[in-house]
Amino acid sequence: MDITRRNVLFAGGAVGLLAILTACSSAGSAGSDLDYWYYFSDGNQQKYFKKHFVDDYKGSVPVRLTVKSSDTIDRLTQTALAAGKGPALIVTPGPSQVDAYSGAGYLADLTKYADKYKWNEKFSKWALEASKVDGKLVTLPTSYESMAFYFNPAVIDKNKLTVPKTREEFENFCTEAKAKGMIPLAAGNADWKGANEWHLTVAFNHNAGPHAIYSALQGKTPWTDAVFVDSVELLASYFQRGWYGGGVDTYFTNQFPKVYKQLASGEAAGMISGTWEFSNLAPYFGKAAGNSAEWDWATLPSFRKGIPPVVWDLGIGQSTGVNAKAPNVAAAAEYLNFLTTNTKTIAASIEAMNFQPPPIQLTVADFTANADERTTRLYTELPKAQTIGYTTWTFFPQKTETYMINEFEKVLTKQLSAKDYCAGIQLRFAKELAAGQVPTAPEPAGLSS
Amino acid sequence: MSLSVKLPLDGNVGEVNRSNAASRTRSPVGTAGVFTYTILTALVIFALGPIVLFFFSALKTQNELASNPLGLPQTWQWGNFIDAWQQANMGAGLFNSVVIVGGTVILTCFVAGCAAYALARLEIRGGSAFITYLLVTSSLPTQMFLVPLFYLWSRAGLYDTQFGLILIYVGLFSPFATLLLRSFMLTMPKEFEEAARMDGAGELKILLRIVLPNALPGLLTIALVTGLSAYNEFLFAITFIQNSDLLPVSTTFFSFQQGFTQNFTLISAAGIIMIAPMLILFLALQRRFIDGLSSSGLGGA
Amino acid sequence: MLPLVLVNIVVILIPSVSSVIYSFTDWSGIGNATFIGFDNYTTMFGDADFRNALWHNILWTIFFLIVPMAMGLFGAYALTRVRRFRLLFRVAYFIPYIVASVVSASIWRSLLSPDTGVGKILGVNFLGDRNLALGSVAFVNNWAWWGFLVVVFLASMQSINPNLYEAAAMDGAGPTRQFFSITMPSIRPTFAFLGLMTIIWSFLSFDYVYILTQGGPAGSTDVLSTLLYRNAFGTLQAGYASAMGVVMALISGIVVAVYLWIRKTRNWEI
Repeated sequence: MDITRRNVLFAGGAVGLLAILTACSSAGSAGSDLDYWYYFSDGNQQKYFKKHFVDDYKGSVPVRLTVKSSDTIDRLTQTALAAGKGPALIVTPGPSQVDAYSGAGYLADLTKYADKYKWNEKFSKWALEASKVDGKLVTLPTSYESMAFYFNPAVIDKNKLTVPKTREEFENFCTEAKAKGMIPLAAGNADWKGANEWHLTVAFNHNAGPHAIYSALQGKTPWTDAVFVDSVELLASYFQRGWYGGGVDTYFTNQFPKVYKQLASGEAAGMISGTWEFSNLAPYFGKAAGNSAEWDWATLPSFRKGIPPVVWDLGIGQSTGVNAKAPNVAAAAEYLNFLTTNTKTIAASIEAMNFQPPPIQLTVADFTANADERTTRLYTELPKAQTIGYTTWTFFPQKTETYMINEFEKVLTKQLSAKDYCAGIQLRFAKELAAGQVPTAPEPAGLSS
Repeated sequence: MSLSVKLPLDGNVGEVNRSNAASRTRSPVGTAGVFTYTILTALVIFALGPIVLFFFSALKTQNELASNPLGLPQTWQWGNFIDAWQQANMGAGLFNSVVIVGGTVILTCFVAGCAAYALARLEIRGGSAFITYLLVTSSLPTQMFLVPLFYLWSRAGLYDTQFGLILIYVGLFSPFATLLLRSFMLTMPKEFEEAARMDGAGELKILLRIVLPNALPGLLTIALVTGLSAYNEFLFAITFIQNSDLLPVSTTFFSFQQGFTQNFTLISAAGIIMIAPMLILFLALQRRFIDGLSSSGLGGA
Repeated sequence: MLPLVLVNIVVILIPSVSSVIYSFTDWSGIGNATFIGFDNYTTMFGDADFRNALWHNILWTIFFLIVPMAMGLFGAYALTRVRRFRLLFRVAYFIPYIVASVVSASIWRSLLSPDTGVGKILGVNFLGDRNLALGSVAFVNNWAWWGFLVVVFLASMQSINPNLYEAAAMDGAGPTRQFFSITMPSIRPTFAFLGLMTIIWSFLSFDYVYILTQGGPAGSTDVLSTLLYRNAFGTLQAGYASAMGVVMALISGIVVAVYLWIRKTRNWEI
């Protein structure tokens, strides 16, 4: 009996203690530095970024960088924001996530800073448009990218292959490479399931074509249209022939280091991936890897008649916004401006580390003579694109995108038909379109404005 | 491979050398033949082989690992351990783990110890309902606690503190620890306590003088189980500790093997470094831990 | 008792209750939630992914009730019958249990990989083939688990009065008969408890699937907890994920209830 009385007393005390703790909440963590969570794919990148983008930043408020791992940063940010916390600068994987954050009021309105820092003049128009939610600018694109065809020139020459420009050439390339015992295209998604959508993006843009996608994004044609079903079927058949990563099973277990090694050693004839690979490939080629291998890139082949020979699939790899609850929104915007528009630091980081720049205008003059030709070619040609395509992670709404990534594996393993897969896309897309959650896409007609 | 031949032989020799004396004092009649020993040895290879191979991987160069993944290292690259230690920042991680695991173990033993004693010995109303509650509690998908807990913790100022993480671990691990300890205490003889009670000893005295020494092996067991769980946990650790200076070693290793390096030899070295402390601790304590577990059931004090 | 109740309320009860509340909303995990009644629950029963994951949990449970239990009982019983190296065997078996899941996943990923190790020799891609992946992950998890059962069963078996065995041996009972007529009845409380925990933990298993396959390829290793995690953090359906959590809790609630009922009707102590 004594115990029950103590029980009650104790429970009462506990509730009281909890109340005190809760009351103390708002006082906690009033650190004045700008919190910035970021991720890197290797230690050198981390060191470089820390030195040039954090320590050398001389703004009004210093920045405190915390390193996260690439596959947890989004979840951590989301959890922290849901609990009313989180860093001052909010890194998101692109506009499709921004809509959700913005709808919840997590992101500060940056429109007034756009005037102050003249972002409208400095950024490419499409990128800023895609970053707006209900007409308000809530994030800035901090990196942009396209898809590319990678190859090792020496390997191509030795095996008498040609970098494909059309579907016919692409299929010949893969058939010949396979006949020579090579893996036609190095690929794998063990480290990042999102790799599925890279290949879907390529199939949609270079087979169905940017105009068809634009029309579907506007809600004018459904995703069940034959042109999309065919694209999915075609891609799946390529996978099932073992052209991607050597087979569907190995595609599921290949990790990125292996993919890069295959490209460098000539085990693989080519690789289809995004321009973010520039920085990732470096450690596997040439001096850094203790070999004499080199890599180069080309634009992707056009898979169907009527698709322009060169289509640049535009993607925002990352958007950064400012936490609406940050103690100092203005200082965070100031740092964001430094991150995205300080051409000198940005051009230097491209040269040194192949970092992906934000979609600002860079010219040959911004680079020194040491700059890598492969890099300057990309960042001076891309802003002049005649026809642009749409990456799924930038222009598709979030649930549609997640569905596309996850369910595509069932198409590969023949558990789901391309037709049903596209019906599933349409089902989700229609809902999100009705809810106004589809990011603003530019017309496919090009960027030379 | 040589093990499987040796052990059964040694076993037979043992049987010849000291047959009778042992069988009386200890365990049941020893009737194990070569067959049993062979299977037992095969199981040893199954259990330890992968770890040994992993250890070898840690001692190879990258090229050697690629050409000869399963064999012995040709030259023993002890330097891999130093590289891994530095690159994965293992030192800080291990220190933080010591703090977090230590805190979790002490608090869990206290919390579970009190509760298990109450449930095993004192007649508490609703005791069996509470046991059911604990069983259900230890069977919830903890992933769904992440968001609500995060909310609570950041309100209470516990977010991004090691104490906050310790508290979560105690909450998560104590139900099972309590159940384990309770069933352990049920096997302890009541006679001593009853005798003491008749002699007029108070509950506290009984708890300290009789129950606690008897329950020590059980406590050691739950300490080990809880300590391991805390040492190996990474999902809550990543979520609730933001400051990378405070992160335990499980998360350091998790992010290290997640593509921060492409070098599997270093991943292996880091993995070995991570499991070494627990291994040493277990090897040092295993006799007490396991023997305690077995002898206590018989009531020997 | 009291500290346990306290810490339990804060860490488990409050989050559980809020999960139950969220399970009746369309909360995305971000921002506000609206109440939608039982919609999440009705959606769930029509959701092929949910049924797929539930089925995998059932397979997982069957696997863990049979393979590690058999290995644990065999190992422990064999150890009670050997005199030499018992300690050594016991320690060896227990060691994988000590290895952190992140590390053992790393060990086995390379061992099973089709480029190095066993996968290469056999020409099998254990984690990439959707027909093998679930079994392979369960195998790796079992590797880390069965040794624990050996130790616990052994401890329980060693507390059996040796005279019982001697008497049985005099009656002419062989090791197998002794096992079923003496050992099993004597360790029944331990056995029943570990059986219960096996079922419960099988429905919770997360670590190995999350680290090794994230539920892939093509959902072939998805279990409820990884699906829940993906819904909560990947597809922004925290309300739906909470509903899944509640269903999982109900399942284990039923398992516990059945266990307690059996225990009561048969008069067992836990």
